[in-house]
Amino acid sequence: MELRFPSETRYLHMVHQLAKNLAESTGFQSVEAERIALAVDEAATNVIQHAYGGEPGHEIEIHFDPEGESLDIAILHEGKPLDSVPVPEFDLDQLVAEKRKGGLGLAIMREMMDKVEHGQAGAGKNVCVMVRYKQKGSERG
Amino acid sequence: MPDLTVESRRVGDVTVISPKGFINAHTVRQFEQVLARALEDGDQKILINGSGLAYIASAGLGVIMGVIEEVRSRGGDIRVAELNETVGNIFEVLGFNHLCRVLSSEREGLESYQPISGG
Repeated sequence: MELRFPSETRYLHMVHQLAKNLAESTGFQSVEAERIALAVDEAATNVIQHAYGGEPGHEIEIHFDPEGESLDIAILHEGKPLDSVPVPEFDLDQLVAEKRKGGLGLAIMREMMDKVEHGQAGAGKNVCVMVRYKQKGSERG
Repeated sequence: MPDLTVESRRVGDVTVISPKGFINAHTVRQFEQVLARALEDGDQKILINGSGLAYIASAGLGVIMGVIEEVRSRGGDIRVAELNETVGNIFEVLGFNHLCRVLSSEREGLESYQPISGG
């Protein structure tokens, strides 16, 4: 299943709800589905704000693959690669001490999903792949 | 129905901020503005009532994270109450339940700010 939408934050809630509904229909309980939806929301936000620098009018694709042992989600874009800047380990105390408002998105994605990887998808596209296993503990990475 | 409304009211010397809807990168500015106004007004005891909050993304958590030290440096605090399972879960996963006190009800949140009376 594929979704295409413009790089604008007003579409984030629609993406969130769609991801939640899809996760629930795949068999995830409501709270688990909400966690997956939040990870997708954060990934899409990162693309809008960092890959496209907040610029509207670009396209974002999300591919959902619910077959097999996991729900695989790929977020594709043609903006700046998001793996080009190293992200330090999440440290809430440090972020608070620095009065930072950002730095939480990737931490949420990593906590909510079993795998989060950034890379290139070919044809000039970059991709963030997130995996959530249906059976708890089947292959948490 | 709007994506987010944020009400602010005074209960004694506590400012209760009640977001209704969801807080993400699109709606966060409204939440941030209400919190900023409370800080500008010199409010010290802030209680966020999350009973109407469907979910909160990193943008909203970042607002709390960015100002809590400032509030504390002025002798105040930011506490939260009545989080639903979704929001409570994200607070726990990221350690926000250690960053700020989480109370089960608004009443408990208000009482947590009152000095313990003797006798």
